[in-house]
Amino acid sequence: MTLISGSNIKGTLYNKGISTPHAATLYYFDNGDIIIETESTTKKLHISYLTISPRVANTQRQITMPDGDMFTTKDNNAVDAMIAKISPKQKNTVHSLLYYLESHVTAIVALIAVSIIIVFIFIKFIFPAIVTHIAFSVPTSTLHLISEKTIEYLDKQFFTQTQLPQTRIHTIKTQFKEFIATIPEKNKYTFTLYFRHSNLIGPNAFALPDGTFIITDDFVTLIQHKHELFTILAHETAHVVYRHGVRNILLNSGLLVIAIAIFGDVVSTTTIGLPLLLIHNGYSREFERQADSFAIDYCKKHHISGKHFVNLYKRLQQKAPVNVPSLLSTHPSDEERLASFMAIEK
Amino acid sequence: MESIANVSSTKILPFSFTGKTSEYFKIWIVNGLLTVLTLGIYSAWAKVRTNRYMYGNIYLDNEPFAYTAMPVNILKGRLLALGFFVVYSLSGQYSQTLYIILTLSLLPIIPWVIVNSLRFRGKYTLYKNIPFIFKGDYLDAFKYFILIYIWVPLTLGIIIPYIYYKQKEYIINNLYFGILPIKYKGKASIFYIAFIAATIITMLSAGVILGIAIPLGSSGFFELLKKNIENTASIDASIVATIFGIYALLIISFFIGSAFYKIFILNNVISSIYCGQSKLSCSMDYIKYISIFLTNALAILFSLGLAIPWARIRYNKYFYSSISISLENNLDDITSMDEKEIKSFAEELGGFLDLDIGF
Repeated sequence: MTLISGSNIKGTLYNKGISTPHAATLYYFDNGDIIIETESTTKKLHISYLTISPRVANTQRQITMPDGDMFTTKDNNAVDAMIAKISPKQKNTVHSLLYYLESHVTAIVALIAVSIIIVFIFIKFIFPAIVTHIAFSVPTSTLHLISEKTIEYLDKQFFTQTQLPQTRIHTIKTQFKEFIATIPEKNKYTFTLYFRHSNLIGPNAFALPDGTFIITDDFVTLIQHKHELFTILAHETAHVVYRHGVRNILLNSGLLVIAIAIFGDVVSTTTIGLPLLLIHNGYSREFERQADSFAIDYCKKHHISGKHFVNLYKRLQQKAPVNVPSLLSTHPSDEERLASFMAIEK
Repeated sequence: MESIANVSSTKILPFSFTGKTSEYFKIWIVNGLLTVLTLGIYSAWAKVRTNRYMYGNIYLDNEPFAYTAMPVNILKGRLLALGFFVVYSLSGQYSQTLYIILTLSLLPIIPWVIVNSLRFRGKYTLYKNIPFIFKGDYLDAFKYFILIYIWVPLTLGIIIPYIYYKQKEYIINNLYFGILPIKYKGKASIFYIAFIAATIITMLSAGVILGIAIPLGSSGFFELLKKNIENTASIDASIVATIFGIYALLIISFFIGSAFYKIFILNNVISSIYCGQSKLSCSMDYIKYISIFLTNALAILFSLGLAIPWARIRYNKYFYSSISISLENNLDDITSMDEKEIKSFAEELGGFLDLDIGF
């Protein structure tokens, strides 16, 4: 048994269940033996019986023994040196890694960089992929339920009966049927078209997850050509067949749950609200791009000019101008969208 | 002669806090990053390391406190709470009866969680090798944290300060440091004085602040307001700024009022606590505390949260340096409570889960 040079740690020994401090010295030997000596007592035991508290900055360490006695010391470096020399097993614990991180600025900077990359990958790829997988396993009966509830709500809040003349409704309905007949997924969803009037919502057309389309009177009056209707329907059909509606709900609520789970006890929901909105709008723009490219492919396949979309879009803009900075918008910029439709002919 | 002898046997010992921003900032940022990277799982480790750092820097008589809980017990407690929360929020969508049952079950669960977490925190807080023990019983917790609220509508809210008083009394009177009982000898009137004074101070400071700000800021404000109400389509930027400014000033006066409430309660409650024969005392200065409170809030706001570690260390330094204990007991001669005795009350009524439940 050889004493390792410099192998003693000054500290305090407390006997089990009493607060009387005894000035003590801990000696350790290369075979793992430990001797703790006070003025009047000597304890001898092996290091494997000791529970050594993890190091946090330079706060006092507690070394507890099986009999309930406790040795405390502020000499953190000496304790770490002892662990490294005679008990390498206790060296590579999670807590010693954490202490390394907490005491090295370069390690912290590296951790910040890694965190940014991982969070970016998660938000951009992993999380949307999981959501897409879930969205496509939602049964059609659930899609029906969601759509029914949505329409019930919209009818109560915003819509009144259509005020369009019967002949106009009939024409649009016929054109709608003609369009649906060209969609390969026509049997998977129940594609139906509803006409509604609303002063609040203005010119708008959108699709619910089960294939229910809603078109407002103001929008119908803007349409001057069958193919204009087709380009819009193609865009909305993409939202249905790619299940953008369900994915949107899942992305939104999923992000919120994750954010609250992580930051819930750190910051308030208002502080994380804006970043969440920006991330969510990013997903939303991605969906719109996907829907546009679906519509463009449709136009190419059925020899419809992209001008129809552009014309309708410009009329829409005149009637209901919107001006939102791109980061806050749920849609890609107008220039970007129109340019991609103009490119069909080329 | 006797009085002199008494004075000399009483030692007044100050508390102190030795944490440093440079150390805590690193712990804090690593905690935040790892919590994000592990989707929240690390938060249990984060809590332990934060508490170890904070407790380990509170000194009395040259000896620090210690926090010795294991992260795994905190993680399990959090998962339990999360599991309940998930079932609870999902139940509302599927079964109305289940939702109502779960809501009602919160009434008996809340006091149990309070008792459990007080026991947990006490058990893992050591000073000189001696843990704190919480002996409070479940039925009393049910009484003071649930049942007592029946009186709120019946007394038009007048009972609320009394409720806070009873809750403080319940928590402190059931605490033991080893075998030394900790006693709270405060009066309910303190809570009423705090409430009334804080309300008056909030209103006075709001009056003073607005009285100075409005004539100075914009004499044409009301003209502007009138003009804008008539023409709501184009709301002027200056009116938004003015309203925002007034709102911010009112928040500051509310801050001043609530800071007064907090400091008044802390000073009085801590100064009414006896640990054995030894009396604690707390004497925070109102002006100093409010200035720390306001500058901390501003620093956190303008640094987008990065000043949080600095603000916490700064507050703790001031808080603990304001506390002292006039010692009548020998701190080096305190024994732990008998383990059999601890077990006997821990096992009543559903028992003690060695988990830190909740967030």
